[in-house]
Amino acid sequence: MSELKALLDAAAAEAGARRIDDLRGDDAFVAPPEALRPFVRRLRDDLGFDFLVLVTAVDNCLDEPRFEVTWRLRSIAKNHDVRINVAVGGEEPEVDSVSDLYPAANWMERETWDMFGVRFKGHPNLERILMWEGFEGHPLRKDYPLLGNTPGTPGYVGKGGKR
Amino acid sequence: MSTEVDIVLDRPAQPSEHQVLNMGPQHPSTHGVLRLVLELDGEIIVKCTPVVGYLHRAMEKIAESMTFHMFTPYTDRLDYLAPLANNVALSCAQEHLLGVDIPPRAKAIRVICCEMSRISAHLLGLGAFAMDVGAMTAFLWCFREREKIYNLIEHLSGARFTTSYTRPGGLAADMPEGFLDELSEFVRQFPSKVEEVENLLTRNRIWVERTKDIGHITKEEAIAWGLTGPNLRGSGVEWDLRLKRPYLDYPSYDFEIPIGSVGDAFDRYLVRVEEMKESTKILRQAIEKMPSGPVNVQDSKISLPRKSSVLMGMDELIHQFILVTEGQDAPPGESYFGAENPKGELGFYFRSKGGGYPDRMFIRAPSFVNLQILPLILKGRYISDVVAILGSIDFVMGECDR
Repeated sequence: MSELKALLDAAAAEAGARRIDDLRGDDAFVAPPEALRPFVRRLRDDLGFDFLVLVTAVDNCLDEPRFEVTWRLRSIAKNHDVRINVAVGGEEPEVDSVSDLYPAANWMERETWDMFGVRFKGHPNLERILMWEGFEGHPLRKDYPLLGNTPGTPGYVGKGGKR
Repeated sequence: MSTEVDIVLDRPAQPSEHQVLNMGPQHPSTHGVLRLVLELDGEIIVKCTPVVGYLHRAMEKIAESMTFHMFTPYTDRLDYLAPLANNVALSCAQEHLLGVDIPPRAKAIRVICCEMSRISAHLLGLGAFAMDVGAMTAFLWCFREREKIYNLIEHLSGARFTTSYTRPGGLAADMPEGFLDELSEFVRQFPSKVEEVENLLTRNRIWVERTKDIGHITKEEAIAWGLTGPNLRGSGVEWDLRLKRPYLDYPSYDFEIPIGSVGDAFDRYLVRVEEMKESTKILRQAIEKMPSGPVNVQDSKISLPRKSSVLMGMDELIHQFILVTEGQDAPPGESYFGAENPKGELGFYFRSKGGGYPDRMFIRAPSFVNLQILPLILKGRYISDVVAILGSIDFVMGECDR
């Protein structure tokens, strides 16, 4: 296992990612946005991380960069997981898509766009998936209100009880 | 949900071009509210666009304003065919974040919960699959067995569907008296009932022709598309979190991982049938070895103290108050835990900033990820194969849309 860790560290150093401490001892890395694809490609092609477990994001509302997108890759043969975090910010946060490397990322990236408004560059069909087309806002952002209703929502009651 | 498709639907099809057929969201074979937009060339599917999200309830957003205890009932509504297994997965994930190890009796009871859910979920999956391709008897026989499991679950947790039986740090309550006897009676008679259903289907000519060589998924495709559970194993990948990432006390049970050979709908059906048999084996062993002792962590900062001592003791009162109002104090950081649920890997990703509320909770829903492969395996098939393929993928929209 330590051999694999050394290989991971070497791949990370080559791509420009850096290892971080993890609460429960997982292999976790932080990569700058431009290092993501080289790092993931290296992991997939050379180290056998052929399975994508999840893609999602976290909104650190008051920080800049505001969002942290996280990927979890798995090697089925070696039974090992790796987590990669990439911080993205700005008015229109954007990060590279890995859906050409892992088809499984397709819907999860769409979900992340839908829920957080993080764009995935190179995604073939970046549309909303859980909310409907035309919905405004990104519900999992911390500044999206938890209560209240929006025009267009099923069951919306406007002023004077008008639907 | 794409509006582009709707526009195409409004336009009458020209003789030379493909016809668009809308299937769902209320189609019976879509097992919930999945909508498929099929582009047809005669009877052959040229393109399939799954549309999901009709059952979205923003569970992840809700979880951010709740303590760990409070979210348990929401998991009943994820994969609503296996609520107990979801409860277990959530509690295990929370314990993984909190760094808690639960007592052996709680582990054994949770294993019973998981395996009962697995049997009942596979029975429904199989029954509905069989009915969709025309085998009514199999459906009724599966439901007869399922009813017995629901009676057991009712005895165990007090509710048939909305169980909410686990808590971070253990269980809501110990097993009621006489439960193990009822369960052993079920385990005794169940294998012969599975065999009955198998006899109806496995060599049934109609069944075989409707499912064999349909919906092929190769090993590489299954892995690349992130399939988990019986769908991944049906394609011949030996991957089961119960053995590969041991949790609870699964390593101490003797059971096997059934895998398929070619990865068609028939293989996935066989894998599910075999899994039910393996689950019965696990249940039998769990009944035999059932350890005694407490079912909750003996740490008042994790699990609620007994009500009788709360009413009499100062310390317990304080702990109860803090746990209910502020929740367990989670360490800051990230954690991920995946459990082998009937549909696949149900994972919970937690991001904590400390305190009793998760800063972010992501649910890796197996049905959501599994459904992505539909366009690939439906392409080029006949429209009548859609129901067989959907049945063999065995998804639940409550979990898919969250």
